[in-house]
Amino acid sequence: MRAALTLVCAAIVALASASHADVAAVWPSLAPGSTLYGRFTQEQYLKGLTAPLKTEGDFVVVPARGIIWRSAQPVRSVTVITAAGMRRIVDDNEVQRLASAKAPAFAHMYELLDRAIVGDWSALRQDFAVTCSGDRNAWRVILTPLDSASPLAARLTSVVLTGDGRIDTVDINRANGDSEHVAFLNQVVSSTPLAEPDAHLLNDKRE
Amino acid sequence: MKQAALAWLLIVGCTAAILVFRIHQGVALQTDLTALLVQESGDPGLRRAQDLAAASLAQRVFVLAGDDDRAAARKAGAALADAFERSGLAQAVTYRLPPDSVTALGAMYFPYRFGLLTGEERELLRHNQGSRVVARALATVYGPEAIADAAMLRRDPFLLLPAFLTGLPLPLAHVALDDGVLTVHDGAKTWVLVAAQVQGNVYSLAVQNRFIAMFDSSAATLRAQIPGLAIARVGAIFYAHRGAQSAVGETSLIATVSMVGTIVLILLVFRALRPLWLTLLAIAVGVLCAFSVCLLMYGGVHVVVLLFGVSLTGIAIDYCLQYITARFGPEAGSPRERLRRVLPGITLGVVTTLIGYLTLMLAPFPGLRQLAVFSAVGLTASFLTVVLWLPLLDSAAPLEDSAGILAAANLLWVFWKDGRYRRWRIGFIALCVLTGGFGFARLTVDDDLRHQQALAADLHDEELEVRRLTGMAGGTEFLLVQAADTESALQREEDLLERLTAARQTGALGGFQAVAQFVPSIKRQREDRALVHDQLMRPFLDEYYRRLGVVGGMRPDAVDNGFLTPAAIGAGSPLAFVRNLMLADGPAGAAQVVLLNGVTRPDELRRIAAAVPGVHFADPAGEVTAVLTEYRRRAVILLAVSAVLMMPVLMWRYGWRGSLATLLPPAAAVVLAPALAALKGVAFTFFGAIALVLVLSIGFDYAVFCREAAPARRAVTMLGVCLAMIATLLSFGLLGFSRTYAVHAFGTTLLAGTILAFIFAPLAGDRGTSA
Repeated sequence: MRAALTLVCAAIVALASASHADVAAVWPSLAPGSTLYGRFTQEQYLKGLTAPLKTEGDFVVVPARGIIWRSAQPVRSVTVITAAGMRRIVDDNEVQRLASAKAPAFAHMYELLDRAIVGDWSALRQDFAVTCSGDRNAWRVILTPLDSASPLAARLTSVVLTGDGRIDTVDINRANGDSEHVAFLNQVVSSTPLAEPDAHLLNDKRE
Repeated sequence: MKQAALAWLLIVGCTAAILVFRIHQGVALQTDLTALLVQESGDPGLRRAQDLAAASLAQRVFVLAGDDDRAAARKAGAALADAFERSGLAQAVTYRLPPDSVTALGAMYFPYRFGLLTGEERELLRHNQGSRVVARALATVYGPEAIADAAMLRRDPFLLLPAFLTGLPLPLAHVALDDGVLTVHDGAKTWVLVAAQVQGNVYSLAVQNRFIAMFDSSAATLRAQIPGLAIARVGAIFYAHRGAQSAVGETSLIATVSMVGTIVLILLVFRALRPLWLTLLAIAVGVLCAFSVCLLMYGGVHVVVLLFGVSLTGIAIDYCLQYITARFGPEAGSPRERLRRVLPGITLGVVTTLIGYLTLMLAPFPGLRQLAVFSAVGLTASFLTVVLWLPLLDSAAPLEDSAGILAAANLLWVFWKDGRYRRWRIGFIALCVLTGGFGFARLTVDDDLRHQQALAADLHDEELEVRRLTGMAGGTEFLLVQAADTESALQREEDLLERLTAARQTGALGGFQAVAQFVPSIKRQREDRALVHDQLMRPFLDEYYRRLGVVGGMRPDAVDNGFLTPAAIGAGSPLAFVRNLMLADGPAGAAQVVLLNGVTRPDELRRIAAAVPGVHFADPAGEVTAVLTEYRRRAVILLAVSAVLMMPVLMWRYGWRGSLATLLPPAAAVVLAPALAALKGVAFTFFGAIALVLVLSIGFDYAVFCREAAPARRAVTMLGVCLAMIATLLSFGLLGFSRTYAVHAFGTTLLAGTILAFIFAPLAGDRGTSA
């Protein structure tokens, strides 16, 4: 659950950003109907571990449908997030499933993210203070939980996104002192239909 | 004669005194249909436990309050829960869980986490595939959502507890906690759930009235405050209340119509009040004696016996009216002479009817036996009242001869016996045969309990809505698990769960809910601990920690070497519903319920139950259906047996041919009545079969009266028969208009049968053809 929340925050960060007045101006919205492909590197800094946990892989973001997050190194796994919930697949076996109905906070965060992806920040602003600096070619957005007593704030201190024409990095700072750095590379926006395996992953409606 | 009447007065007086005394003490009317089951079968402890489980399930109430505005929905939910709580009519009211309840749930399981495996994990570890559990943990740790921090990795390295918690089969699939409240989002609407257990017996009218009044007034207040508020409810009490309400409404309407109709009929025909109260007296004495004797013999009366017993006793009106109509005509004579004239006929009628009723005793069913005793005693008492009291209470003066009425009453006789109507008779019989054949072609048998009572459509819609929104499963079937103690019961459930899981895969049932799914047995926890240690920790932990860079090794803080037991689940826990599955846990042993839903193959579940010791499959609705089937079969067989048993009496008086002629009208009525009812779309049920027992007795009465009638008094006899028929139709035939299917079937069959018995009755009377 916390996991899911963080993932969504990461994604929000990955795709959102901009200051009050400017966020709309600098934010690289994804047009509905198009798909964003890219690679990522993720580093988790967990207190008490000797070294950061590093992961590499690729991702697919489809507005109003979902996100596919494929880790290739050091372990192979596929995480699929849709409005219906989250699933994880390892070696073609589904090893985890979290239904949205059972995790309303998760479902809420996914909705915020999904709307932010296409440039609708109104929902996000109900939970986060958004500050933005820079211009379209070099911007920085900081999200901080509005309500310091909320369950969200109990886990999350801030989310920092940077980018130019695209989102380049996301840093998630957790309340327990852990942090996470994600960088996005080789991003491509396409309007051609999804490949069959990806479409299949996002279509799964089982609960 | 006077002495006999006085003696009878003494007996009736004593009986009345006993009845008053017993009613003063409080008479228990049994209402549970399964009480009509064969008592000898099954041990009483099992039946008690099943009753307890069924009662507890029937007490459940779920209410959803929905509104486009989340705050309004929550306000309504809180107000409803508060009303439930304050009324004192409900217990275990669940609305807002304590804020830390989910954390508390985690905390309850946490110390025992190394002994809590999901079924899948257990299978993997048993088959040396611990590496797949490790792979899952790694995928989670490296996954985008970063569930694990270092502290967690050291306490629960392979994240067994989160997997166990996500795997818990929570009963309401679509419901989640939103700020402590069980909530469903559906489109724009937010629905909140209030759950409770009704206090007391939900089939008691008093409990229903108080609870429904409380619920309706809170709902009305809320609807006034929140205009768009939607409320959907599920619970046996709502259906039971609606059913009782419509039954009471119907019964009082039918009773009024029948009472007014009978009074008007008697006043019209006799133009005197005395015949009316004489009739009422005879029947009242019958019911009074029957009730007292049943109380003395059985300590109580089943409500079904009371209902049908009063009907069967009511047949005494036939004898009453035979005596009373004997007053017609100038040559009527003194009351004593009138009685002498009708005595052979009514005595034969009573004897045949008693044979019919007592035949019910031959069935090994407590319900039918009680019914036989009730109606035989009632009938005998009514008959004695007619014979001993009525001549003394009656007026000596004959009634004004009403030629018109008598001539009209005699028409039917003329139709059957006059040569002029031969063609009409043949045509009528052909019509009967044709209609009967057509009806038989359409005759179906339906014993399903669920079809015997009409469910209120709006309540049913609400129930479907609640099920759709929450994912709550339906079904009244359950398994009862009995064992020496809770631990053994849990072990039996675990055995059972494996079989149920397999049965679910083949579609025999949709799902199940058992205590062992939430709290494994100590034996299983011990085995799982060993598996975790041998198949996971020992082979994989060091390498896993090295790979992730966890320093300092595992910190199994707060690992409890004891075991989790169901006693750890508190009243405020999200798992509080599990406590309802535990019926008993004491020196007498433990009893637990496994709820089933979507059962499609009951026989397979019976087989599964038989395979595990101490487990019984309970299907309350199915059991009652089985009772009804068995009762229907027996009633039909007994009907034939009683007709055969009546024959010697008839043969003694009428000879071989005469007795067959007397048998003809009732037999024709009994055979044709279900066929005619079938034309009206009424399926044949136990209730129809009981109606046929009545039709047979009524048919014999009418036939015997006709056979006994001297030609000169024939019209008077026919008037008595005609009045008896109309009175029967007014009292029971009207039940055919009931919306309760069972009552409707009873009434319709009786309506058809009584009319047929009346129409065919003159066929029995050939004594007068020569005159």
